Amino acid sequence: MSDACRHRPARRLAAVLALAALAACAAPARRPEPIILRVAYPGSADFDDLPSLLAHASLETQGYKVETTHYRVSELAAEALARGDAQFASGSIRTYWAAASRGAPVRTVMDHAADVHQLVVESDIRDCEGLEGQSFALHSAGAVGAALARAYLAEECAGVRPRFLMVPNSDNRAAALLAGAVRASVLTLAEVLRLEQQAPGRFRVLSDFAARWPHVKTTGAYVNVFAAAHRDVVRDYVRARVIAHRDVLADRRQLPAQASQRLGPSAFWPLVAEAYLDTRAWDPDGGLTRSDIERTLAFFIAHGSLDAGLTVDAVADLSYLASVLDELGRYPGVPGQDGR
Amino acid sequence: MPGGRTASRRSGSGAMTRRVVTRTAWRVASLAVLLGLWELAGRTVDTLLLPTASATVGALWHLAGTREFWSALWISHQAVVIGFPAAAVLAIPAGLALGRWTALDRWLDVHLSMLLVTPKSAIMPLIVMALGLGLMARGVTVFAFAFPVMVATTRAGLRDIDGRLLEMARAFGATELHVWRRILLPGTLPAVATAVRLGLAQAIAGLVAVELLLVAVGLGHLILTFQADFDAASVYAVVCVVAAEAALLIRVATLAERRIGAWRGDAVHT
Repeated sequence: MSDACRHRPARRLAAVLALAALAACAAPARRPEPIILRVAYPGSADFDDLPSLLAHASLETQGYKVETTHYRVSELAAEALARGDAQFASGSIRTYWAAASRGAPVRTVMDHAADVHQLVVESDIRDCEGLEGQSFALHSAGAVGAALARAYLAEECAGVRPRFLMVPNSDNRAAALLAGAVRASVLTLAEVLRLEQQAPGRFRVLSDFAARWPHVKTTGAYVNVFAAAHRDVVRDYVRARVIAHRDVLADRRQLPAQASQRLGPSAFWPLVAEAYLDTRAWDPDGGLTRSDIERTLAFFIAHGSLDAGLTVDAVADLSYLASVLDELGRYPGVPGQDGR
Repeated sequence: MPGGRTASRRSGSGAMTRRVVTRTAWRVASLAVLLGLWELAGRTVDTLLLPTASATVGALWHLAGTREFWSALWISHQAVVIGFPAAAVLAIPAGLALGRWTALDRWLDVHLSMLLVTPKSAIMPLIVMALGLGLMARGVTVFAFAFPVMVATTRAGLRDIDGRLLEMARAFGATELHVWRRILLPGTLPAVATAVRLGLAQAIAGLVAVELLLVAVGLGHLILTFQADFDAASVYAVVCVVAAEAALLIRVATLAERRIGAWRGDAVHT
């Protein structure tokens, strides 16, 4: 074997190593790992969650990775937030404030969506007195809908006693109404519209709770103690959500398409989108003031069996929203910006 | 030797007493270990939904003193009182018939399989649509939980009977009625007892499921109310009552199963 042949493998190895070194030098620097934001929701994604889902998409373009988990019931989502399995959450204010009253380190940072609950009855029930002895379906005694119904009865017709039935799951309540098994229930706006489509003229809205108590908040966005150590991240999250609320108001047409994409196609979405936007379901300034929290606390202490010792500071931290609004400015033409 | 017999009887009864005491001691010790671990977990794990064992016992004590709890217990059991006997009365003859007549089994097997595998929570909205939200709907849900498993267990019990016994009976000219009375029914009794036990367990599972998912009355209503207030100790207290009741009923069914087994043994020997 000649010297040239004997040295050929060594030369090849040297060439491969040189190429590898060159490739390593030429490769771009590794991207930093994205910050993972874990967000807990109760139940499956719903129409009022849409702006928050758009906010998540926006956060992903800013380098965050958003992981959402839908828990079967809101108490489990609150537990996930309290334990730190999630850093952010959305859902019923009554549930998260009940958790806060038990020492859970959770704070409300902004509104999730305005109250969209309505009291729906069979159309022959004309007024509150007509509910006497009628079957009235609610999710559970501790649900927001139950508190709203109790408050309505106390204000409107204190002596009237409907026959309350606790029917978990709004689909079951709607099915029960359609089947004639119950005569009244508290449903969300989307469910009321769907019911109207399925049985036109058979039901009527006896009270629109959002119009009745405009300052009572029923759903919120929450953070856990994670917030104290990562204020910038929480501010980014709140900013993305406020901008998403403004975007859906600015371009009303995008909502049905987003609903089809994220919740599944349905011919029903344009109607629901119109109704939600007309009721200003998503406040372009975050929808939560100290005054709102005080009034909402008073409401749920009186009608939702919340601990009477709860204070605004124990349930909410509005500093993130205030900081974001200072940065973005108030949305033009939003009425009722007092008390912030 | 009467004295020797008495002494032997005494020593036999002493050994039996020792066995019972040992077994009871082991059970109490394992329960104490379980409660100790639970107490430790409740004190160390930072969670809203796991109470300590002592808090749960306290909540149970408090609950037992309320009228609301006893009323809830009664309301919940109304559905079992309606649904379970109906399931047993229909499922056992159905299981026997399917086990005996192959043509019938071929025809109905697919339906039984569907009933067995369909998640019962998925059919609850249909039950609401058909029957409303009253006691009948809850009873039918309990029935739907218990019926398929009882049919399948009874059918399997009948199919397990030794075919040679049937051939021998035929060879001796036994009529179909004789075959049922002398071979099939005694041979299937243990499986029927097992079917009743499994059906009972399913009925209690159905009772809780219907009240948590369909209409929150009785114990389900209590659980949802306590859960909404993050009163975990009271939730666990209610769940412990359901578990203890299920264990007790299944114990009673097991004892009945043994008695039936003993009776069947006697019947075969005579």
